Amino acid sequence: MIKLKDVSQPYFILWGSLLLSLAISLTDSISTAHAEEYPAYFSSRTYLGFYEDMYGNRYAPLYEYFEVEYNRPSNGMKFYSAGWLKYDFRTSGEKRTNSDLGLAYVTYSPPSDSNLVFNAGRHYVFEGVASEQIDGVSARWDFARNTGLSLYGGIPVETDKDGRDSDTIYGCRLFGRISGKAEAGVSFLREDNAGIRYREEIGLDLWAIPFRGIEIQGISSYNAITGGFIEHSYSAKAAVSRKITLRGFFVHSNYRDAFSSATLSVFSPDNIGINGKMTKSGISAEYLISEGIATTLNYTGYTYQTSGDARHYGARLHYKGTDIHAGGAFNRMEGDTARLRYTEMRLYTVKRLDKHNFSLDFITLRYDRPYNNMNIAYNLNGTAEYVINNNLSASLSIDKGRDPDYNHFTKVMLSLAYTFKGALSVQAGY
Amino acid sequence: MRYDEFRYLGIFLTALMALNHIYALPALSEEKRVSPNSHHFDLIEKPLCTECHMSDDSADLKPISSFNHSSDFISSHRFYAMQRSQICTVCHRASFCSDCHTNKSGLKPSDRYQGSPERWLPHRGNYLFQHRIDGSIDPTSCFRCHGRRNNKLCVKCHK
Repeated sequence: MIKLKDVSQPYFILWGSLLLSLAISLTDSISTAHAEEYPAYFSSRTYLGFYEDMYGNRYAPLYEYFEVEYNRPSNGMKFYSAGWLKYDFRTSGEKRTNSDLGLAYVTYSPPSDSNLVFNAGRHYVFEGVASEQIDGVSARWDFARNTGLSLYGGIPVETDKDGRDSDTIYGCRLFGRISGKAEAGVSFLREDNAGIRYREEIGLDLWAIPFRGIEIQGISSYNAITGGFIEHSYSAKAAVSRKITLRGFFVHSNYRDAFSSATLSVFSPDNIGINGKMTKSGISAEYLISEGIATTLNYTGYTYQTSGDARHYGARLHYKGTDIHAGGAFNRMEGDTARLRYTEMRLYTVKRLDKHNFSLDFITLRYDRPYNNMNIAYNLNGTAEYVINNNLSASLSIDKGRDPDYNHFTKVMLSLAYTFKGALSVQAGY
Repeated sequence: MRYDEFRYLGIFLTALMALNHIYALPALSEEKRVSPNSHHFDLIEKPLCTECHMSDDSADLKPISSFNHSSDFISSHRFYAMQRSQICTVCHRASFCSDCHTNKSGLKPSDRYQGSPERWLPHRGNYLFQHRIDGSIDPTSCFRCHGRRNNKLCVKCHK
C-alpha cells in the first residue's frame, strides 16, 4: 500500500527563498534613482461548491486559486507563482483543509543573451522524456546556431511514498534544428527514490516539415531499468488544402516498461497485466466548411496483447463566432468485449454578451450492456456569469445528471474571479 | 530495436546535429528574438518572430488560422511542449499547464472552467463511472497525469 505524506516543509523553503528573491529584486529597484514600471499580474479565483457523494456524504469545499507574476524586463528577471488552498465546510471525519503550491519560481534570462534561460524554484520541465514538476533548477541554452542544451536537477514533485530524503531527479536534452524545417533531440532522465535508482529513461524526439504542408513529430522513449521501450509515439499532419487537414498517428506502449515506476497500485503488474501491450493508430480529417465552422471525422483502432481489440470512430462539429461558440460530437466505441461498446454524444453552446455569459453543455453515454440496471448516463451543465467590471466577475454553475453509480446527482458551484493586470510603479530617490 | 542500437542511433543523431551546426546553411537564418518591451502589444515571454510573423524581418502576420489550434491539438500538444515549451509561453501563462498537469488536484479542470465547454477539457461531468472504461481502453493516457502524481483521490479506492 502506498502511504501518502504531505510535504509541507519544502513549501516553506520554496516560499522563503522565492519571496526573498522577489524582495531583493524589489529592493534593488527601489534603490535606483529613477521611476520604473514593472509589468505585474495577479489573479484570484474563488470557488464554493456543494455536492453529495454516492454514500450520502455532503461536501461544501471552498477553493482559492491564486496566480502572481512580476517582471523586471530591464534585468531579465521574472517571478511567478500559482497554487490553491482548500477548506471544506461540510466534511466530517475527513481532512478539511488541503493546498498545493503548483509553481513558484524565478526566471532569469540575461539581456545580453536571450537564448540563455535559467529557472529556479518549483517549476515545470518539459524536455524530451521529461514532463516533470521539480523543486530545483533548470537551464536552457541555444549555445550555437541551431544547437542547444537543456539541463535540470532537483527534487521531483510527485506523490510521496516514503519521504523526500535522498529523492533526486536530473537530466538533460541535447537538440539540433534546421531552422523552420526540423528539430531532433536526445534526452535523458534519472530519478532516484531514497537514493535508489527509480527511473532511468532515454528518449529520441523528432519534429520535421519535410515538405510544405506536411508535419511529422514524435518520440521514442526507452526504460533503461527494465530494458524495454516505454513507447513509440508518432504523428503526421498534412494540410491537403487550405480547408482540409489530415492527421495520422501511431502509438505503441509496453505496460511493463511504461508503468514500472508508478505510485498508484492500479498500474501495478498485478492489476494491469505485466505482459500487456497496446498499439493505437488512427486518422482524423478536419474540414473547414467556412470561416469559423469546422467538422472533424476521426477513427482510432486499439490492438491489445492480452484482450480483444477495439475501434473508436465518430465526428465532431464546431462553430466559433464573435460572441458565440457551439458544437457537438458523436462517437462510437466498438470493442470485442461488451464493456467496450458504447455510444457517446455531446452538445454545447456558449453565448457571450456585454455583461453576461451563458453556457450549456450536455453529454450522454449509452452503454450496450447495462450497469446497475442502467445503460444511459448523462450530464447537463448550465453556467451563468456576470461580469461586474473589467477585473471582477461572478458565476453560478449547476450540474445535473445520472450514471450507473448515481441515480441522480446535482452539483452547484459558485465562483468569483478577480484579475489585476498592470504595472508596479516604483518611484524612489537616493 | 535493442538498447545498443538505440544508443548508436543517439550518437549518430548527435553527430548529425554537430555537422548541422558546422555546416549550417547561410540561407537558414537563426531565429531572432526581440524584447517584449519593443513589441506593439504586451507579450508574456520572449517570442520567436516566426511564430506569428511570416518571416523574421517582416511585420506581416500569418493568417489567423495559424494560431487557432485544430481540434486534434489537445492530443498532440505534448510534442510541441517537449521540444519548444517557450513557444507555448508566448501566449499561455505557466498556470495554463497546471490547470491539468499538477501534483495535487484541487478542482478538475472542467469544474474550474465550466463556462468554457468549447475548450473540451478532460473528465467533464461526473467522470467516476466512465473512468473505469477509459482506463481499460488506454491506461497510458491515465498514467501521464495520474501515474506518479495527482493521484491522492485515486488512492481512496485504488489502495
